[in-house]
Formats: sequence, structure tokens, C-alpha cells
Amino acid sequence: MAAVAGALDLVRYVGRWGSRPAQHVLGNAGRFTYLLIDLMRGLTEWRVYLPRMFTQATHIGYGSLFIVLLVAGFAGAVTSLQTGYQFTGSLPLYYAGAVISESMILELGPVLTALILAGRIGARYAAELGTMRVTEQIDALESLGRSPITHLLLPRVIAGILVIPALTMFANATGIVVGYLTAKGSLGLTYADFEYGARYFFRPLDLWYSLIKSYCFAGAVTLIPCYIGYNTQQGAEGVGRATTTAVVSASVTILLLDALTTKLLLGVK
Amino acid sequence: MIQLQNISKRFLSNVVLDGVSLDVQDGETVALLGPSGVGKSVTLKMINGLLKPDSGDVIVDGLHVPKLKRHELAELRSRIGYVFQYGALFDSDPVAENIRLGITNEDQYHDEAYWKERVKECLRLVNLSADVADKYPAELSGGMKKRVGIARAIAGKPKYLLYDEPTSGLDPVNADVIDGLIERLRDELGVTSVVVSHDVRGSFRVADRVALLWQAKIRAVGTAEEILASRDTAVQQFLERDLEMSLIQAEGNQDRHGA
Amino acid sequence: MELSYKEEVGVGALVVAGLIAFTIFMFWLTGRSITSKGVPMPVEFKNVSGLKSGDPVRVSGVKKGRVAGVRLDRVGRVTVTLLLDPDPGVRPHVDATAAVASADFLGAKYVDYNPGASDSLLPPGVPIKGVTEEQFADVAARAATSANELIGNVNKGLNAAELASDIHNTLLATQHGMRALTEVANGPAVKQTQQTLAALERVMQRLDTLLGASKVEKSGARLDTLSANLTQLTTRLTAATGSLKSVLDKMEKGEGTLGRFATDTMLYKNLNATLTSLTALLTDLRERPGRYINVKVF
Repeated sequence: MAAVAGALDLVRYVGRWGSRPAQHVLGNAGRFTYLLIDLMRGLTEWRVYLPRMFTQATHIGYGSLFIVLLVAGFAGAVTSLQTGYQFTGSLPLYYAGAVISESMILELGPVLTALILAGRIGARYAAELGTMRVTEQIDALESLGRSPITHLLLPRVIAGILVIPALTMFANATGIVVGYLTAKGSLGLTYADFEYGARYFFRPLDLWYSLIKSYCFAGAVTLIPCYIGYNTQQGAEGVGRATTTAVVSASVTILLLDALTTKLLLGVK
Repeated sequence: MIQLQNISKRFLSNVVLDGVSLDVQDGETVALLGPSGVGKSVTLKMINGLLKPDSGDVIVDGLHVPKLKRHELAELRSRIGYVFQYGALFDSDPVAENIRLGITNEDQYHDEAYWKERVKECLRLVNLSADVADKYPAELSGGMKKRVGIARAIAGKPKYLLYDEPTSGLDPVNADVIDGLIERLRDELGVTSVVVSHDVRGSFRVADRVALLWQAKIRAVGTAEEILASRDTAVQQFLERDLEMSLIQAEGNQDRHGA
Repeated sequence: MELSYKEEVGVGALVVAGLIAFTIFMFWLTGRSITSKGVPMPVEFKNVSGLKSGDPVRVSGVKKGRVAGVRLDRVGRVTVTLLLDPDPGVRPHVDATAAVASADFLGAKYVDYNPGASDSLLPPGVPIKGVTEEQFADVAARAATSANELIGNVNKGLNAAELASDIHNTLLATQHGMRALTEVANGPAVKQTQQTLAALERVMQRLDTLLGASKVEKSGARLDTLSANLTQLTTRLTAATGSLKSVLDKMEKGEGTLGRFATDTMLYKNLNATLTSLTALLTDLRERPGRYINVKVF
């Protein structure tokens, strides 16, 4: 008897520890899905979210432009220098053009931009919405018969989805231009060689892939922080925690999506 | 008419409300009195559907609030003004936009002539000058924030007004101003109000009836006189403690004025 | 509202600029221009060895257009549309020819176009015949056969003169194979290279043993040079075979452009070195055949 009781206790113990994280994960998945459905439903109320979307898009678009271009520029320069360091003497110089343009378009442009914006836009969204939640501003909106989804979340999400791919394209361009100028300065790469290399390994899919990736990342950068901020609990500490969680989960999601899109779009040919 | 029927609510293992029933007639002002943390705000949030009771029913204008669909709830909420404890103003928008968001009719909201006029009128109703409209909530004092909160709540011409601790955190002078405002809005707009408060004096002043919430249940309901005359020990205890506090505060003020 | 109108313009500008960046990229990287002023010219090939649209068209090594499209009509006939620059010097004459050529080892292609010198111009729309280069697969197969024959002869112990010419042929075939390899980097042809290299490696090992044995008796300075050349060649061939194998494995798994780079560098290096060694050895043989016979006689 004692053995049976003990075994049952163990099962209960393990069950409790096992089921809590599971409940947590499933609960979040469910609420996130509801949020997505609510966002879809809210799309018809463009009169509400469109003006607010423009405000948000201006904030995050022009606000992030400098840092995105700065980082992309450095990424291009470093790629260029490292390519020079590794390839000089063993491969024709024009390969540098291919490496710079392909690595910027395929990986560095979209991913670096998204990671920076996860820190910039994601943190901003999570902190704003979290503060609004704990100071009852979201409740206030609801008490006025207004939907927080269309007033607060949709403008932010759409602004991100509109602006982030554009920023990614600027990042790609900056990275490639700076990469070329660096290669020109340090390796003596001519424009003709650069262009030749860049074109030889380019397939139109690469650029589409870059664009599709940036849309996926835009979703991650906006939706996850919005969800986390919207569901903030427990005061100032909660806001802090929501912000950190938002940035970390958005960044991890970006990397996962990176792997996933690469596998799906470039994996099997 | 607002009817609370036997509502219960618990957060985890903490029972906040246990079988609370209360009727608020049209045109009446009812104060919900009680110490902090007995579920007064929770009750208020149930009236406009921000929270749902675990059991029991909330009926406003004949509508069963917990069972309403999203758009029905939004429609009902446009008839209920809610004044939040700390104002809960949208701090990224100026005062004018805050009040404008209170205009619940979407066509009126987009009608520039209408909303500008309405913002001015609401500011006047809460004794604020029109130039406050361009300020941001962060530039306002606590009392002004509460008044803007009230202005926002009345901008949609609601039938009901719910006040969550309208005087808490204010000095007695400002608290008196707000209490006066509640009376005035009742008289001028003829709204039905529920005032949640732990301020006994203020509640007695503004309310037609007072309900005392004590340990998750309604302990006493009645006019100010009836409550004061109550022989219930819990009621007596609460009233004494709070009136004492008020006296101390009042004395303190007199001292300051004397010196 | 005036304020948000300004915002709308700002956001619009940002998004449109992003769109423009994308479009410019696409045009720049595919080598297209918005104003397509090129002259289209169809060319019929049997096999285009991986030529793709956007690849350059060169006349005597000068870029004079690009490939606008590659279409498979049926097995053994591919119509490639070239877009030639509107330069009167490159207008096709009746005897115009075009060939698919390799720009580098990694599979980049271009069309080597020769407008011809005939008096009469080709009427527009008439396709010209594309010249297909000798396929690597054939070359490699020949090299492999010849290497195997050589090994067989060595084993049978045939006379020195015959053996010498055998080795000579093998080396020539291999060198040809190596050259071809640099032109056809992708596809099933590469698998043949592996065979060739394996066979060649066996030849070299054998040669090494022979030379090693002879070196003891006839230790001349000239012999040493030859021997050193051969040893070097053998080592390099081994290395090249190794990296080629790994590239082939990767290709079979279908890994992407960037993944290929690292190993390709190795392979490229190795093959380059091998080619150099082969050339050195062949030059040596051609200039001083007598020394070669000497070794055989030992």
C-alpha cells in the first residue's frame, strides 16, 4: 500500500512540475492565437488605426533609420575586410563582390536589422503597452467602448510591417555600398569586378528571400512585444520584466525564423 | 438601473467578493464604502464588464453584462463613464485628444467642429480652463488629472458614471472640489453614479445611499443617517476609525491656517 | 489632422524609398536595365552547361550584351536569346558563332560571341548555331582509360619506349582533363573527375616507386628534378582528390552558395597547384625526352 501511495505521490509530484510549464506554454500559445484573431478582426476598422499607424511608423521608421544604417554599414565594411583577409591570393578578387552582396542580402541585412529593431522597437512597444496596462490606460480605453486592439496594437504592428522591410532594403544597400568602398580601399577591387562578382552568384530568389525574411522578422519584432506588453502584470517591475522578455523572445524568434525561412526557401533545390 | 445579483469573485485563493447584491436606481448616486482591498474597484469593473464575476449576474439597463458579445459590450460601455483612480489618462496624447477619445460616437469623434466644442464644454464642466486642452497629462497636477479623467468620462454623454476612488491621493481642499463636482454633475447631467471610496465624509456628502463593503460582503446599505445610526459593530468600527482620520486631517489644516 | 498628414507623407516616402531600393537592387544584380535597348538574337545550342539569364556576352573578351533568356526546346536543343548592345560592330554576319565558355572554376559562364566577318549580315530573327565545347565528361573518361591502360602496361612490364609514350599520353590527357574541369564545375561530369584523379594517383604512386628504385642507382641532378616534380605532383593530386570528393559530397547534399566557398577555395588552390606541376612536368618531358627514357631503362 505504502509503495502504491508513494508511487502516486511521485506521479503527482512529477505531474505538477511537468504540467505547469506545459500549461504556461499552451496558455500563452492560446492567448497569442486569440490576439492574432483579434488583430485580423480589427483590420476592418481602418478609420481607427490608420492615423495612429502613421504616427507610429514615423516614430519607428525615421527613429531607427540612423542606427540601422550605421550597423549595416559596419557589417558591410567588416564583411569586406574579412573577405579580403581570407580570400586574397587564393581566389579571384571578384569573389569579394559576391561574398559582400550575398551575405548582406541573404543574412546580415535582414537579421541584423531585425535584431536591432527587436531592441529598439520591441522594447519600446513592450514598455509602452506594459505601462499603459499597469496604469489602467488600456482599461480606460476599453471602458470608453474602444478596442485596445485597434487603437493600440494594430497601429503598432502595421507600422512595423510597413517600415521594417523598407529599413531592411536600406540596410542591404548601405552594407553593400560600404562593403564595396571598403574593398575598393583595402583590396583595390574595381567596380567592374565587384559588379561582376555580385551578379554571378545572384539569383532573383535571393532578393525575394531577403524581402520575405524581413516581413517575417517584422511580424516577430512587432507582434511578440505587443503581446507581452499587452499582457503585462504587476506594476513597474512587471513592465521591466515585460520589456526584457519581449526583447529576448523577439530576438530568439528572429533567429528561429531565420533558420526556418532559410530551410524552406533556400533549403532544397 | 444597475443590478448586482449575488456576485462572487476570487483571485487565486483570495475571495474578494462573496455573494454581493446591490441595486442602483436611475438618477441615484450610491457610494460603495469600505477599507482598501475589499473588492470595491473589482465591483465597479464588473459593472462595465472589465472583469467578469465567477458567479452571479450584473444587469445594466436590462443587459446581462457578463454574457454580452464584444460589440454589445462596447455599445453598453459607451453609456457608462468610468473615472479611474489615478486618472489613467493616455499620456502620449494631449488633454484634448484624451477627452475626444471619450466621445463614443464614431461620427461625432471625427466631426472636428463637434469634438472641439465638446472638449471645451467638458473642461468647463470640470472647472478647467480651455488652455489645458493643449497640455499633456504629465504636465498636470494630481487634481487636474482626476478632473480631466472625469471630463473624459462625461464626454460621451453617459447615462451612468462610475467613480473609482475619485478623491484618494488628493489634499482635503481638492477632495472637496471633486466631491462638489460629483454633486454638480449629478444635478446638471442627471447621471446615475456609483462612487467607490474609503472617504466616509465625502461619500456621505455626495451619495443618496451608502453601501458598506466589509470582508467581501455588503454589511450595511442605507442613507447616511441610517448608516450612522447603525448598531453593527463592524460599521461602527469602520466609521469611527475613518472619521477620526478626517478629524485629524481637519485639525492639521486648521493649525496650518492658524500659523 | 494637419500634423498627421505630414506623417503620412513621411511614412509614404520611407516605404516608397524601400520599394525603390528593392527594385534598383533587382535591376542592378540581374544586370538588367530599365530601358532595354539591346538587340535580341537567338542562338541554338545543344547544351548550355548551366548558362543562365543575366550572364554576359563577350566579343573578344569585351562585354557586349547579356543573356536574356534560356529556353529548353527539347532534349539536345536549347534556344538562348542574347541581348546585344546596339553597337554596329557586333551585328551578326552570316558566319557568326557563339559558344558557352567558363569564366572561372566555380561555374560562372559567359557566351563567347563572334559576329563573324562575312560580307552579308544575318537577317534579324534568324538563329545562329551555337558551338558546344568539348564536354568534360568525355575528356575525363579518356584520361581515365588512358591511365588505366598505362597501369596495365606497367604491370605487364612492356618496353621502356612504349611505357614512356603511355605516361606521356596519360599526363596530356590528365592535363586536358584538368583544364576541362576548370570549365565544367557542376553536374554529373565532376563525378568522372574523381575517377580520373583516383586513376592518376595510382599511376603516380607507381611512378614514384619506379623512380625511387632508380634513384639509388642513378643519382643524377637531373633525375632528382624529375623525381621532385613527380613527388610534388603526387602529393598535390592526393590533396586535390580529397577536396574534390568533399565538394562532391556537399553538392550531392545540395548545400548553398556560401557553404561551398570554403572548400572551393581549397579545391581551387589544389587544382591550380596540380595544373602547375603537370605543366612543369610536361615541359620537362618535352624538352628532355632522353632523360625520361633513361629512367625507364634503369
